[in-house]
Amino acid sequence: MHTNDYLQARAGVKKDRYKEDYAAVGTAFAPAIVSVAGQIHPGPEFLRLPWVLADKQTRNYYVLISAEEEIGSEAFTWSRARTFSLNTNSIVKAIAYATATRLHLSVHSTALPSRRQPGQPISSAECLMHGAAHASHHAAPRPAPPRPAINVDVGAPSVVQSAHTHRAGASGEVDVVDDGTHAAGGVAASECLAATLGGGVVAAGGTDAHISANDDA
Amino acid sequence: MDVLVQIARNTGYSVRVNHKVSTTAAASNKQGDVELVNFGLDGSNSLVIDVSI
Repeated sequence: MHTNDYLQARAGVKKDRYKEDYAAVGTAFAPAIVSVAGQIHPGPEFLRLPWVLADKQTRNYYVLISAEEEIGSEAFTWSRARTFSLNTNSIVKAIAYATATRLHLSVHSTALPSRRQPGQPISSAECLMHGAAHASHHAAPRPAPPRPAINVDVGAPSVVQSAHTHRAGASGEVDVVDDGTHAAGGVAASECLAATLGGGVVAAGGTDAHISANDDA
Repeated sequence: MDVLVQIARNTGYSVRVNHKVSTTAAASNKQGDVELVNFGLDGSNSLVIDVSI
């Protein structure tokens, strides 16, 4: 069975089930069924709805700008076509997002990740959501933050420090004196921050690493 | 469905979402996904769109 036939069958079932009941109370019924491949049910009811809405939107706009006499002109026709395209594009984009979500749930059984982690490729659903389906899936590398100058005497542990930890007037220079018996893993960032802001010598407890911050001021 | 509702509201229609439509049929609990009130079709007051994927 082709997708068209399947969609047609599902639409037929829905119409048989609901249409007469709705008609009894003066309500029209139209199924809007799409497949996970993004294909819309080829029935005329839903496909004509965006055109009807676009026509009414354009008429309302021309009435709003007091140009009722231009309704039916070529400009009106083009304006209606533009509105129709905008509406259909919005619907198709929503269908694409719903399809991506449905497929993601089918495969992973979890909701879509709410936020992309740095370094991870952007998902197709995110692309569609943010209108960046055409964009590259690889994010541009972010520039590394500036680091203070670190003078290393002997085999210093790795000290990573951001630039905003320096107070004004300080040289931003951190001397690391190592006795050669420091613990592996380097110096904690809080110690480094204290050394930079304290203006004195901090002995790292538990390790033999000594950090001294030299102020030029 | 939200996009369809938004477009219909921008058009000026009054829209009800997931509103139970009372019917005359027995044991019916029809619930329209998107209901466009006073849509203007011949013989019908409203239009119910059943959205499914």
